[in-house]
Amino acid sequence: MASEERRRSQLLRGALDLCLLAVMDEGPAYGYEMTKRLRARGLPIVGEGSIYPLLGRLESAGLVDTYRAESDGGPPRKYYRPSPRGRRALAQGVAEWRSTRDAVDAVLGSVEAEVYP
Amino acid sequence: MSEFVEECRREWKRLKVPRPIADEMADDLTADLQEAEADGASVEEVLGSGASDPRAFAAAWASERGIIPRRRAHGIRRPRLLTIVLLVVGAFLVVMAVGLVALLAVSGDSSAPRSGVATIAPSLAPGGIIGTAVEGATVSPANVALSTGRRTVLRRRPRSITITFVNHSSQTVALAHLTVQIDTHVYRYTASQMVPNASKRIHVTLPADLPRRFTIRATTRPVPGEANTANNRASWRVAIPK
Repeated sequence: MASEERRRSQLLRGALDLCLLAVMDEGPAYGYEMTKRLRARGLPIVGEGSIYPLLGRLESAGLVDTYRAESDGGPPRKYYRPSPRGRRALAQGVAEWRSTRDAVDAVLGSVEAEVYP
Repeated sequence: MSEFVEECRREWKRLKVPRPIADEMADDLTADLQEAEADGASVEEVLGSGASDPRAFAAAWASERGIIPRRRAHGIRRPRLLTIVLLVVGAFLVVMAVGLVALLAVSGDSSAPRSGVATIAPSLAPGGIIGTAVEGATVSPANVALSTGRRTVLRRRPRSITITFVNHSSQTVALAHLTVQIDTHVYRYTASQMVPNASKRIHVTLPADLPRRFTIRATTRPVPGEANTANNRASWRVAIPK
């Protein structure tokens, strides 16, 4: 794997659970539907770990509620949505993400500025 | 795609995942892969890097769901982990042995220079390391860290600057003085009873009449007994938009 891809993968690893909670917070979704929502935002998971183990972790941690329902013309699917605890975790995680992003930007921002003096 | 699911099924069976749960996961996976195939998406687009290793993928999924213990899921990787541990222990022993040999060689030659001691001696005082230092500066908003090297070009006009200075001493500094000069404006601060390794941050609202390019200088006054004063000063060159 190229170093750029590896770095991207490492950066995403800590935020992918938040991204999943965020896209299912827009409306209950099954696994592949979440993949499509992420891809539509420019976040394909090719090269990343699969979302299924991550969904399993969110489920065992009580951060998502699940139910089975018919999909559009397809077989019954397992739908996920954030539990109340998952919504709190999402809000807290987003705050942590933004704080981390700002701190990293504070360091990298000046570097970028120096490239174009 | 069905071959991938069958591989997963075999792994779940090997890991003693209860049949109804394995069926549920297999059904979900099959439905997702079929829909993806109809969309023209690849297995990788659905499963990410898990697509290349169905057994690891299946074990990880069952493990993360809490269906099987993590140890059982990672059982197939244990030999690799053991190898890494043995390599680390081996490397540690080699480093220790080399260090011991080097130590014996130096102690056996009393005329050999002890470069480590010579290097830190100038910063030592009878009471230990003494001194304060300017650590860094950031401007807000955006919390941009300023560089002491090349000029930092800011895209937004900053409102304030935060300068951090520290007590590197092994003893409390009764009174530490910091002077900040922003272009032609001078500010003076005093901190009392700075305990060892304490840091102080001062915030200065930047004057409105700054030119487009200016320099910020910060200086901590050397405390009695301070030998290393090179880190008592720092300056940052800044450019801001009109």
